Amino acid sequence: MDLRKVSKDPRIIYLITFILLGVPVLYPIGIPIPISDITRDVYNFIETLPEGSVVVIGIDYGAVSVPELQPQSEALLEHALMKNFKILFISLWNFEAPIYIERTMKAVGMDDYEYGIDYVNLGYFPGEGRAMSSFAEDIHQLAKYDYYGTPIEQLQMMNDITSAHDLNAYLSIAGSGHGQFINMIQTPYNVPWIFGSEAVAATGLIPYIASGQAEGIIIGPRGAAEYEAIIGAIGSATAQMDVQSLVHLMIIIAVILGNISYLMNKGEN
Amino acid sequence: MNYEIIGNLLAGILILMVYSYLYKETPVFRLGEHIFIGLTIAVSLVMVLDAIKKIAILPILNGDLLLIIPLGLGCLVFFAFSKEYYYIYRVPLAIIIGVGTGLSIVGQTHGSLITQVIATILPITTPDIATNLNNILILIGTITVASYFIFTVKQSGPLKYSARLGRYMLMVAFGSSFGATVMTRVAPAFSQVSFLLTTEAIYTIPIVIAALAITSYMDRTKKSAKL
Repeated sequence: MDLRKVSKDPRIIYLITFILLGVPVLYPIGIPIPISDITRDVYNFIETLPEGSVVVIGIDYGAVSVPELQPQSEALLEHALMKNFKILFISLWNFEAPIYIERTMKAVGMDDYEYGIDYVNLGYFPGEGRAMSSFAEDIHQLAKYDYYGTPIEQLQMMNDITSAHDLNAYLSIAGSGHGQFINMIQTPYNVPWIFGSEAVAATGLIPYIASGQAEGIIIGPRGAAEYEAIIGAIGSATAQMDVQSLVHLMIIIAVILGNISYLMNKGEN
Repeated sequence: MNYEIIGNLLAGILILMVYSYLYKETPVFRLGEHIFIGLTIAVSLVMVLDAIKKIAILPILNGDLLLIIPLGLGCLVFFAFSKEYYYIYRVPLAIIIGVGTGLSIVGQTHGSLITQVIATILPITTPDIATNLNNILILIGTITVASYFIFTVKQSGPLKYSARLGRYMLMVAFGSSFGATVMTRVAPAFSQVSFLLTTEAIYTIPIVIAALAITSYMDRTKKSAKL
C-alpha cells in the first residue's frame, strides 16, 4: 500500500472512521471499562453527604458538549436522587443549558419527586462571573422567579436556601468557565465542588483537585461510563466506549503509519 | 401525525448536509451551516429575553422600581448602533467591565493564584517514595515552566536550561491534552452516527449516498470534458 496516497486524500481516513463509529453501534463489543480512582473519588464524596443535603447541579454546556457531558449530568442526577438530596438546577454560563437541564430531568425521570419540595429548576442567568457572584451572595436576589415563572417564595425547598453558605455541594458540569466558578463561588464560600468536564479541559482542572478546591472530577465520556458502572445505571456513555477504544486505536495506527511514510519520503529524497 | 419521526428525519438530513463537507464543500453544506448559526442566535435571543423578563421586568411590574436603573443602563448599550450618539454605550460598558474586574480580582487572586501556589509547596521527605518523587516532579515542573515565561531578561546561563526543561514539560502537558482532544472530538461524531443508525434518520442515508454518487459522477464527467 502506498502510504503517500492515504496522506494526500484524508477521505480514506474519514471513511474508516465512519465505519469504526457505526459498526459498534450495530454490533456492540462490550470492552470492559476499569474504574479509575479519580472517578471513584467523586462517588465516594457524594456518598459521604447525608440524606437531604442541598446539592446544586450546575448544567452549563451547549450542543457542542452534549455527547460528552450529558451522560455525566444523567449519572450524577441519578446518584443524587438515589441519595434523596434536595436538588437545585441552575445555569450560569451557557444560554443553551436550560434545554439540557430539561433533557436530563426527562432522561432520568422525576415523576416520583415533587417539584418545589425535592427539586427546583432556576434556569439560566446571564452575566457569567457577575451572575455567579450574585448567586453565591444572595440566591433570592438573583432568582426572583424559577425557570417556569413561579415566584421563588412559593417554592418550599428554597425557604432555607438563600446563599452559597447553604449548599452542601456544587456539581458543576460545564463545557468551559470552570475557573470563574471556582473564583466566584467555590473559594469565597468554601463550597464542596465536583467537576464534570470535557476530556480536553481535564488537564487544566487537576490542579484544583490537588489544591483541595475540588473533591473530584468526572472526565469526559470515559468518566461518565465509569460512573454509570459504579452506580449501576448503564447508559449512553457506556455504549460510547467501544467506539472510543477503536477510534483511538485507529488514530495511533495512523500516527505510526504517518511517521513511517515521512521517514520513507525522507529516505527517498 | 408523529412529529418525533418528522423531527428525526429532519435532524438526519441536517446532520448529513453538514457532514457532506467531508466529501467537498457544497451549497448543501453551506445551507446546513447557516441553519445552525441562525438557530443558535434564535435560541440565545429567546433565553436572554426570558432571563431579562425574570430578573428585571416581572420584579419591576411587582413594585421593585429600583430595577429600572439597571434596565435603563442596559438599554443604553444599543446606542452602539448610532453613529451620532455612539459614545453613550460606553457608560454601561464601563460599569459592566468595572464590576466584573472588581469581582474577578478578589476571586482570582485567592482562587487561582494564592491557593495554587500554596498547593505546590509539598513535602518531599514522606515515607512513601512514589509520593516524594511525584512532589519533586511537581516542584521542578512548576519552577521550570514559570521560568520559561520570563521574557524580561535574556534567557542565558541557568535560566536557559531551566526554560528549556520547562518547554519540555509544556510539550508533555500539551501532548496529554491532545490525546484528550481526540476523545472530545470522537464523542460528537459517535453521537451523530449513533443517532443516524438507531432512529428513523437511517432512511436518509441511502438518499444522501445516491446524491453523493451522482455528484461525484458529474464532477468526473466535467473533468474529462475539460481534458
